[in-house]
Amino acid sequence: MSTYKKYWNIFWHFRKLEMMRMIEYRGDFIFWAVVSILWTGFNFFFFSLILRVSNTIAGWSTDEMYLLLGVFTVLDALTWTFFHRNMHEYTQHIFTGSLTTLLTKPINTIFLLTMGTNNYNNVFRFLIGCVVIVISVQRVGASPSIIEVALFLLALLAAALLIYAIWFICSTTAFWIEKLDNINEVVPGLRRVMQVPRGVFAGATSILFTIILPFSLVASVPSEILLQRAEPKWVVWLFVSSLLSLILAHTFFYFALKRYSSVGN
Amino acid sequence: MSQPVITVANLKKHFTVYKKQPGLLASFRSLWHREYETVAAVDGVSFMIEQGEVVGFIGQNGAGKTTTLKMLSGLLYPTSGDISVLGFNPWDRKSAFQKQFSLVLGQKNQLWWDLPAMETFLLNQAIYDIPETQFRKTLDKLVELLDVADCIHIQVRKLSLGQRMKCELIAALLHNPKVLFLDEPTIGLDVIMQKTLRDFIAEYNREFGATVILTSHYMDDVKELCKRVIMIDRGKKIYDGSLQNIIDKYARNKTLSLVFSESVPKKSLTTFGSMKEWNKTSATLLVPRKEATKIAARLLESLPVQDLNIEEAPLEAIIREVFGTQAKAA
Repeated sequence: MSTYKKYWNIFWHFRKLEMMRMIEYRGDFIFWAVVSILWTGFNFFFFSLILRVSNTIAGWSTDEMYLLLGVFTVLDALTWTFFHRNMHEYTQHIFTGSLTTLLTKPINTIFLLTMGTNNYNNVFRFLIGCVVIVISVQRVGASPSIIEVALFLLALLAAALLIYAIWFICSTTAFWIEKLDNINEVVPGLRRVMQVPRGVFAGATSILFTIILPFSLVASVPSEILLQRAEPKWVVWLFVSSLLSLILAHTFFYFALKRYSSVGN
Repeated sequence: MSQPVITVANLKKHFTVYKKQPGLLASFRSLWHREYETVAAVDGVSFMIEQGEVVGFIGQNGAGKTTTLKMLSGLLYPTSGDISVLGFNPWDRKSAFQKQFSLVLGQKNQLWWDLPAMETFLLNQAIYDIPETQFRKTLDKLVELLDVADCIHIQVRKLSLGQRMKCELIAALLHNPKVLFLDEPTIGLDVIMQKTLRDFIAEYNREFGATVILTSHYMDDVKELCKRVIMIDRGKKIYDGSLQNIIDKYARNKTLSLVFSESVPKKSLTTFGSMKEWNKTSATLLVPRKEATKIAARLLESLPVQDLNIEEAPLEAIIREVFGTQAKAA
């Protein structure tokens, strides 16, 4: 129990340090906060253009699509808050050899690499996503039970962990391939897959994005839970694939560490 | 005799490195064909270190010093061989082990760049589980020893290199490590700051009985801190013993600095030894080490010597001599 408490304390210690750092550079924070709000705005605008022409996408109505986009926005805000900068720093640690400093600490290195820093400028996107979810659920007329809301939150967590684990696996390949900083663009490059209903994909792409690399489930399945039409097999697969990805990311990291050569000094 | 704190047996670390030929054409060729070679960064090194020893790790650039330290810290996985530090296999990277040692790399930092050093100290308190009273006591002591009370509340990026290095040392020592690996801790510092850090390391060793391995290219660091040195050349250990033994074995000459009460011609000095400098009323001679005292006595008898000083050859020159001898032997 004390170990959990220690990690919990360190988690908040990092958030506090990052908050202090953000206050030091408040101009930068305001600029990026505005940029991230604009991103969200453009994304909703883009889909509103499509939905003006076609009332449904893969059977999802306009309000259902906005719910999906709201879920995606929350996930994306979490991703950019924690993963983007940490994974970028992770690959930098490998290139520059500064991973050395982290490896000597009496604490789980993956935890340090994952939680060591964050971006606060996505907090507004997170809030926008939450508001869109609440409004969309009301407009659709869905009335999820407390259990369904709890399952939705768990599915959202599983989805975030799935994105994190796959991103972490990609970044870990930097142990083998030098100067692989653009590896951190692979997962963001697949964001379009996350923000459309899983029914959009058919044939080989369906197998790829729902089974092998189940990014099409991350926003669709939590949205379907709120819409009370989730298929159990996809809910289960989201949790199972998330767990398997985490195990793989963990195993792959410790395997990769054996070939870590650091840098000259 | 106490148990050794560090035991290393036949340690090896081999890296595979890519060899690129010069030129653009070679760059294109390397797209589909690359030549690799295996480099033995550490090649069968063995040694033991007792508790409280301060050992100097000496070697030229790329000799394998830092690689050895990284294996001792559990950062690099050895190709083969056995290591035990404080009874642990470093590669297991057990928390109980990590709380008892510290690695300070002069060219790497752990301080949060945009925040005062104090914030990193508090973070390390949480990471190393340091009780509040012990933390305050150790911090006060280290801040006093290094005289940085005014610096620890200033943003790290606004500190000088010397101030930053002092704060790095504090961050590395807050948990009172029993074993300290110092990799060029004085690199880039001015001579006064180098001396301050050396005095501090000596004081830390005395006060806490810590075992220290130090690598440095500054021979003053080694001379002042280490009674024992381990010399490494191209991954192999070439010497392990007292620093004085190296001086006795490899220093062939001593330097005699002379000041005369009246002008002395150059030719009357050349019979005593090899002339390094001459300026009518002063001269510097290199004489065979074993005969230095006799020659000094003869000089005092035959010439109007006002002042005479006998000096050991600089440690840098002796170390160069050792590596030169090894290279010839190879």
